[in-house]
Amino acid sequence: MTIYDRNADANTAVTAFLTQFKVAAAGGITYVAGSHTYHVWWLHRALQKIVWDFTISGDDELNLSKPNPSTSEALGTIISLLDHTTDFSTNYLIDDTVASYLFGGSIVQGASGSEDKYYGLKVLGQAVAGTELQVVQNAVTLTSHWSTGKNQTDSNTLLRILVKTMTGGSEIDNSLVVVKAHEWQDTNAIWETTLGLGESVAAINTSADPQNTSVLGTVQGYGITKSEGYNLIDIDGNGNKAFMGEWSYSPQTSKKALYEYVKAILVRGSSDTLFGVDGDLWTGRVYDNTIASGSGTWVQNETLSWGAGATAGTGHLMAADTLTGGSTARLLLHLDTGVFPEAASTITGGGGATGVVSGVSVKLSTFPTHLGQFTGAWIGAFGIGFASGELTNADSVKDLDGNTLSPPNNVNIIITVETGLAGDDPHVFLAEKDAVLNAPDYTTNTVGAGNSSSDPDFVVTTAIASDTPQDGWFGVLDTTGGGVSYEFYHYSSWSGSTYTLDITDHAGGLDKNYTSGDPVFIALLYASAVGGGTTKAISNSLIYTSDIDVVGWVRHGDPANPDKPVLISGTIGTAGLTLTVVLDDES
Amino acid sequence: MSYSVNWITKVVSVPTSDLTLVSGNHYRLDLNVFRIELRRLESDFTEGLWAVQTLEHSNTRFDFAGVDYAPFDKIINGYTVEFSGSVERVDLIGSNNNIVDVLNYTGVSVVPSNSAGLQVVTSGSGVTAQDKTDIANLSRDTILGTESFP
Repeated sequence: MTIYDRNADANTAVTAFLTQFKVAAAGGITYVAGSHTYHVWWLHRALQKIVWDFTISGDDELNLSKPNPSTSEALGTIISLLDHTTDFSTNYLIDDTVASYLFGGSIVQGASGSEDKYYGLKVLGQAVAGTELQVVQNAVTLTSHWSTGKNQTDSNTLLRILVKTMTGGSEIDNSLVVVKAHEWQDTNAIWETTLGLGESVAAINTSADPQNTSVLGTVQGYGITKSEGYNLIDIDGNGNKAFMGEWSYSPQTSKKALYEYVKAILVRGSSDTLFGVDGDLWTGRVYDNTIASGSGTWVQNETLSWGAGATAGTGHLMAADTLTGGSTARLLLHLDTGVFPEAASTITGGGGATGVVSGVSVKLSTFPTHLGQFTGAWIGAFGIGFASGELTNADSVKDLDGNTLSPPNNVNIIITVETGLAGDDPHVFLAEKDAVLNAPDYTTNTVGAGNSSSDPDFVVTTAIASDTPQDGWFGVLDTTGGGVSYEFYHYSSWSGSTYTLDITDHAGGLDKNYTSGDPVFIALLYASAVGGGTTKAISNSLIYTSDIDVVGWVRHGDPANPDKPVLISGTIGTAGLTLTVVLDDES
Repeated sequence: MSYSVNWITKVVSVPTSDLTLVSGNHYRLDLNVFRIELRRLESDFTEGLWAVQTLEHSNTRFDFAGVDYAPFDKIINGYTVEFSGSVERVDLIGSNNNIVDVLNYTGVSVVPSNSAGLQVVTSGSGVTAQDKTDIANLSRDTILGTESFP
């Protein structure tokens, strides 16, 4: 197979072209046999050659008696096949098969108003060997005749083809195409371009993806649940933010599994869907729309349509702040065909819901893998939500309003206790160390006002430190009431200077009234280490902001077989704190 | 057991009812029982789990020259012990201990029965010549000021 580019030898190229194609007397140009490909210039030159000849030769039926078949502009990259139906009953036309052997420019044919247009597409870049590019047009993947590349006229060219953008005078999806490279175990790439006269360029670059190393079939069986729709997620502990989806790698155990799972949805040849869009047709064109009014009920992932003629478009519903149409204020969609909804247009859902767009829709910056860049940690794509509990401070996400959020560094405190008997019940206490003494600091806060018996929460004087566990214990000493020991409460959350008591452990609320100013301190651990055998454990977590020196102990005071108390201490650092304690019988 | 501990003032109260009657107001306290009860209280979520340890126990017995020495129990971290109720004498058995040293005196005679044998004793007061010099200098400076006698 020879690629006859623009600078090929003219005699050779024209001869080969006329051998490969037949030109009928009525102007029809059809494929005969052969596998060579040609710059559009050689179509023009071949036609001009046979209408210059005095005699007909070969299977071609033209000679000097026929009208001019074509014109050329822009150095032979814009070819027009002429329609002489009225005067000569001759209309020079190629068909789609012939077009598949041409590249390097555009071909326009037929009478004005009913013309066909084939526009040139040139894909530049570097891709992993074996990459099969996909071209999506009007929500359809074009049938590939290019396999892993075609007309690669230089080392930076992956593909040069013609794409039919108008048929019978009707433009196909505004002459817009999306080129995709979604090969398994490679990085992904998407490029949207509007084709025009001559040849338009798309850029695609891929490489081996070090985070995508698993077998496709294995990943497709991971059992991860797709997360679609509108979600409010508190990523950094500073309140909820809006996202699309709330992706979790569960039941798998790694972010890589999730990354690969979504890549598998979008891999070339996929029959899976994302937000209702076939993976092959996912183009990542996402628009954020403000909705002024509406009706009905949206259905997640349903098809949408709006406008007419030049303003028409279709898409899929990705997220709505509420599915109740009358209350919807924000709606995000994947653009499938046409143009995005213009101001004041009405979006209609497949289920009948409507929403009137206010202002200009905003096109979001998306990522070819949908979720974002993954290097072992996430750099989340715009507006993509993740399960906050699975993020670390190495991850970065961006909400739908463009705020970049870094999750706090949640670190674990894990105490493992080796006991003598499986039935032993070791009790663990751990608290912040006193600044001077090698003992807990028992006075880190004081009782606030208004703590009465039966209250479901407990107020302290000083705002609770940000590195206090969201679930833990506080001890309060009823000095005023003559208390001889701190009284402990299990809290399930805190905010500001208020602890909310764990409803299971303290269904009746506070046991008594507490007096302002009495001492209070936090226990990071104040419970039994548990486990089925002789290895037991207890854990908690907190948001790391700075090192915390801690001290505490493990005690097993069962009168039947008491163990020696064990002092524990350490520093909760960026990696948390892990300690192992072995209890020894004291009898 | 009905021991009570004031974990704030660090006072361990042992009621008469938890002592073993010998005769009259004469009672006995088994330190093994005492230790086990303190361990229970130290581990209790509603008692002293948060508080520093009360007692240090060594259960090592030295088979030395044919003699087995009793374990050692040492009240630590500033805890004190008191016997409450109508009791005149308490004999401590089962371990060598320092309860007499940390006893809150309530008129009870406590007999520790600790092991005693050859001991290392420092003769005299133990005050060295340097100690005497330092004391003299400090006294002089306190009375007269340091600037008068460089």
